[in-house]
Amino acid sequence: MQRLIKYTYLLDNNRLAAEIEKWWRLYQRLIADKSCSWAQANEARAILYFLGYIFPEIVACGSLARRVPLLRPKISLDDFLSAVDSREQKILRLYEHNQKFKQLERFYLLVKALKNRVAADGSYLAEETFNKFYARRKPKNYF
Amino acid sequence: MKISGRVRIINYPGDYARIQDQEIIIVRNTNPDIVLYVNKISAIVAEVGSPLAHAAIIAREYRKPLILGAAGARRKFKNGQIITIDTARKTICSA
Repeated sequence: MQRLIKYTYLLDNNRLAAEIEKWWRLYQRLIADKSCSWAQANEARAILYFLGYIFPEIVACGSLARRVPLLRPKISLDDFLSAVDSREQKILRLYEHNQKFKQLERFYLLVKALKNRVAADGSYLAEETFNKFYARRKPKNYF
Repeated sequence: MKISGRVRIINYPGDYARIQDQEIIIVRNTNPDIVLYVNKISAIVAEVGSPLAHAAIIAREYRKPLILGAAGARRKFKNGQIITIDTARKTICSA
């Protein structure tokens, strides 16, 4: 998972997208595997925690908070996020030809897609499937 | 911006279906299930604090007033209680 952070440092959106998919597919494979061990169940839990929380809300958020203030004309993180989320044309037009803005916008949209990801079971990041899968494997002496 | 309304506490995804028009939801974080009900709500109060939390993304996409980082809010307020939120000052007051 350190590659996700590395590609965030590099702001390499293509490799980042591929890396997210790689982890998502492994997570899906693990929770679909009926013979999955307790150790593998915890590997799935680690992926879920990293993809669902640590990466988007800490790593990616920190990256945007550091990079957005470097854009010119100046824009705050809140205004950047609002402009992208609500497609505020007045602001988006200002940065229409700004490659740095476009790169950060794509990065944010990748992270946002992860936060909005719903699996085949209809739940966010397949949490419903994961919770049942994890509960079935939990040892009696778990603490 | 100040908004007043009735509280709806969201503890589980199933609670979204109980949302009534113009309620202010208080939630730890939202998940994509909220999309079906987001037009009914007047504002979101979230216990999580990241601007990239799902609640923050939804609030910006649907232009809903939002207070982030309201730790313990689900315990402090009750369903049906009337509250006023001030998004500029980031305060929540009971009426």
